[in-house]
Amino acid sequence: MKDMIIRINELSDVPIYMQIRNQIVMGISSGELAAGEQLPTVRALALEMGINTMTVSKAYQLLKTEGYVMTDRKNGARVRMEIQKQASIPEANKAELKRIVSEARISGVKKAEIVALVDEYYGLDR
Amino acid sequence: MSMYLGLIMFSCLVPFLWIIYVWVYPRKWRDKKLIFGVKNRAEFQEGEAAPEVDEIVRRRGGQAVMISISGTVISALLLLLRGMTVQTAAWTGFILLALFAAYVPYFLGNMEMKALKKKLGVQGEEGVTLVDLSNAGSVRALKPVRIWLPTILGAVTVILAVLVDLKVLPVAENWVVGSFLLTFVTATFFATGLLMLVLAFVFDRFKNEVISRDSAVNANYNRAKKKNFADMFVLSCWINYGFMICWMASFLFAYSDLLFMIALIAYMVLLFGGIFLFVLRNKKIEARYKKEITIVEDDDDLWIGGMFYYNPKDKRLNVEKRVGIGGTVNVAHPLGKLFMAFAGLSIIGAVACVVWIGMMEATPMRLYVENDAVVCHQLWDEYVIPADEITGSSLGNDLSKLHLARISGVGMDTMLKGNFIVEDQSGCKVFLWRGTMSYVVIRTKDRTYYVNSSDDNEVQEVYQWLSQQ
Repeated sequence: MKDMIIRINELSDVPIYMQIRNQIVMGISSGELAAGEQLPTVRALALEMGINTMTVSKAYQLLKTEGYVMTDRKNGARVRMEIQKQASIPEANKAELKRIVSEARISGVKKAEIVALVDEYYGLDR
Repeated sequence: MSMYLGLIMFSCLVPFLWIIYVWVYPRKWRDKKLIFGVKNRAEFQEGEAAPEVDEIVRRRGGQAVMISISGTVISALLLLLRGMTVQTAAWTGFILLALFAAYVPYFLGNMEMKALKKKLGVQGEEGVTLVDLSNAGSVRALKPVRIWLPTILGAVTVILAVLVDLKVLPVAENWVVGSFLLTFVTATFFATGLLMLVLAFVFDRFKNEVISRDSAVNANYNRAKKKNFADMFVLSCWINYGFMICWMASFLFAYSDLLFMIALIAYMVLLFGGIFLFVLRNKKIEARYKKEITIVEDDDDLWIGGMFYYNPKDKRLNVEKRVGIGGTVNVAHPLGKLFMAFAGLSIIGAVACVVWIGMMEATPMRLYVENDAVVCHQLWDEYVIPADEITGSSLGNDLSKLHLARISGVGMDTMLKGNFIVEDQSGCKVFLWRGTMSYVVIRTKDRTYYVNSSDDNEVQEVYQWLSQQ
């Protein structure tokens, strides 16, 4: 595992389990979490974050359902070796992207700036 | 005994006050991670802020020195006091006051630093927690065998003490054997050791601090700190059980007050030495990793006065202390609230204890005959010995020559009350006012009573009545 720092905001409108899920997905995408990488146990992560084990468990369950991680009693949670490639953006994410782009346009952000950000997040070399 | 009490209190309180000063009050604040419990940050070191921090540190540090000097002088003066009650009351009150006073400048400094932070417009991200995923639950420094080894040794010693008290192991023949004093004291030391064992594991599982984006740096920093904690607990455990074994051996084979005092002082010196070593190593760790700090988590506002951690959103009970050594509880946690209530009650209990001792000393002990029975009465304690149970009695004239060892009850400079070993006979009931030299020995089928009164006439009257029976 590379240097992966998870950042949880207790005052955010986004539920904590969703914040954990989102950051693990971003970690997988950026390569901070490699395929087959072992994730901390539910208990260890909950203790470290000072949150309920149920919250971490819910995040892991969601990641498992979405096909990002696999879990078993013996080995705990691991990043999947092969993540199923849908090669399409889900409708909910498209709507979210549309909202972000719209807000950016209204506030005067240039298209090139948005594209540059997408390049940065997607990775120019990919 | 009262002289020992003064010396013990002095040797505990005075070093403690100075340790608080050295540990809590920053002098070269630019090198420190925390200034009065507020995280040191680049904004404090620049422009007009730096002289302001200088002034806060200088003023509050000066006040702390004055408090430590005053504490030392007053403690030395308290050594001149005589009388158990006066000494106990004075020391209890003064210890509570001195410990409170020692933290007042820190508390005020914390408020000033938070105000300065606000003035500088330093706005932290409230409610944000950082976790290094690579290190979650994996940074441990305590090898269990290191702390289990002295604990097992302690457990074996307690078993030996029980066997000696039960006279299964005939290693020595004196008044201590059979009194269960060995069992009681070794069990107390063992309980202290068990507490250290639990704390050692709790500290080893503290949340890992995130100081850098580099996981290896975070892991090494937290491992170094946890190793220091682990070493301190292991050392404290060995000192605790070492003293326990020495104490037991001396009571069995060569007891003397002087030997006991020397051992006690050595015990205190070693314990404080261990803490001092821990402090030095911790300073080294902080200095070593200072240049690696690239992330400063802003949780200053979660620390009330820089001392009490209050975070209702944090499910953890234990967190590392911001000031001083070790850990503290999350006051917002239900168990944390219980712990704080217990601490408050302990302080009230200590004061109540002093009042109780004062009442014991101030209330005369009464001895009289009522309804064909000898009655010993003081406050809420009453021994009633019916005449038909008495098998014999005698009058003693010099209480000071009586050899008494307390098993349970009260033993003070002025009076003795409870179950005692008297002249090598265990299970005796004692009700004696030390100011009265005469006393009556009353024998019944089950036990022997050694009783007298604050008034010598009452002793003579009761003995006359017993002689006529």
